[in-house]
Amino acid sequence: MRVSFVSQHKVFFSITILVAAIIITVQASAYYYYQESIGTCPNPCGGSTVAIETLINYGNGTSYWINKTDVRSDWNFYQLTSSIARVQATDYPSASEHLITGINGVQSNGQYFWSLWAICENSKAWFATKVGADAIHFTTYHTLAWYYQATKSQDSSKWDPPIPGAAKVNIC
Amino acid sequence: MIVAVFTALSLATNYALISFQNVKLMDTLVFIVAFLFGVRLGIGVAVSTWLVYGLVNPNGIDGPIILSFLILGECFYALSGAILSKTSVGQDISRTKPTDESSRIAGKTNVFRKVDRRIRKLNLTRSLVFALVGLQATFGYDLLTNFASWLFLTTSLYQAFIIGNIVGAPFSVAHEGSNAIFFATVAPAVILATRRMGMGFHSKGRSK
Repeated sequence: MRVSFVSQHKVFFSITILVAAIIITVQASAYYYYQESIGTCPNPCGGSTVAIETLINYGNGTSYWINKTDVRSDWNFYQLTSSIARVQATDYPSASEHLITGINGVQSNGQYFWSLWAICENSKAWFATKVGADAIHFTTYHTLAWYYQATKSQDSSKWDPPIPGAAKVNIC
Repeated sequence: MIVAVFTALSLATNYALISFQNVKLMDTLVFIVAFLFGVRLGIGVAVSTWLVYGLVNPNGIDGPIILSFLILGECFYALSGAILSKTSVGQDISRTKPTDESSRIAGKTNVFRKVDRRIRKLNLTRSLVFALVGLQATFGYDLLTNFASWLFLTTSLYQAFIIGNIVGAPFSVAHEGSNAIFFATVAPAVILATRRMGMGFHSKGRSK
């Protein structure tokens, strides 16, 4: 009956299986491309160190710069943040990402959350990164910031930069 | 009533699965409602669920534009459920014999044994159909919502589409994989159970 059912609806099964195969191919390619793009690290990758400046702005007038000159170049920004601050985060292994919910005891609360910023080398201006801390390697960015702020929008172009009045761009 | 019950069910499962990002039963439930009761009720569940889940969410609230895209994307499941139920494939796979009759006839004679085997074989085909349709609807949803997430962060619509769907690929893979499993298992089970109870907008005249 299964054979006859499938053969009765040959067109339906042909089209849906073909479309499903295309979907799987497209998603596998996108996933592979994504993994490749976040997997890059500075050359030479292992053993070398880089200098990274990190600003933590608590949004209440208090902010600290932390300059580290011996950051392993194969680290990502989540690892660096964890090494310089007490981090509370939710782990999403399927996406290889952490959602930062608190830094040094200051927790996300309602519309207040920790936004992630970096200095764009091209424009020398702050921009809200499009990816999470785990996906930020130190190939391109050397000055980064966590800024605790309230926002009613997910549109990062409406957010304030981590240093009041500093230059800000929407795209790096 | 149906919208309220299924919306409550969608919200309850969404909050229960909050730590599993992009793994939700909501999509399957919206599809089931549309398959059984028609596209309007399916869209009703999709809209009601997102209006609550998008605005009361521990991971952050959605802005009005993102929320609109999420609701629009969720309607894909309602549309696919309604469309599938109207096709000859959808009508054939939702045909079922009453449970008591099946159990009574199964295994008694060679003829009924064959019938029983055929029903079991059809279950796999049925799961395959729902999984394929679910995968395609989920893909459409992911394309749309990944695009929407980057709509105001890029300089062109094309850029938003490409970047959104590459950066969102891990989430899409989890979403599409889990939905294919839910559609293959939960959807046929609920639809057949509902049919056996004689419920469903389209059930009259089909379950012969």
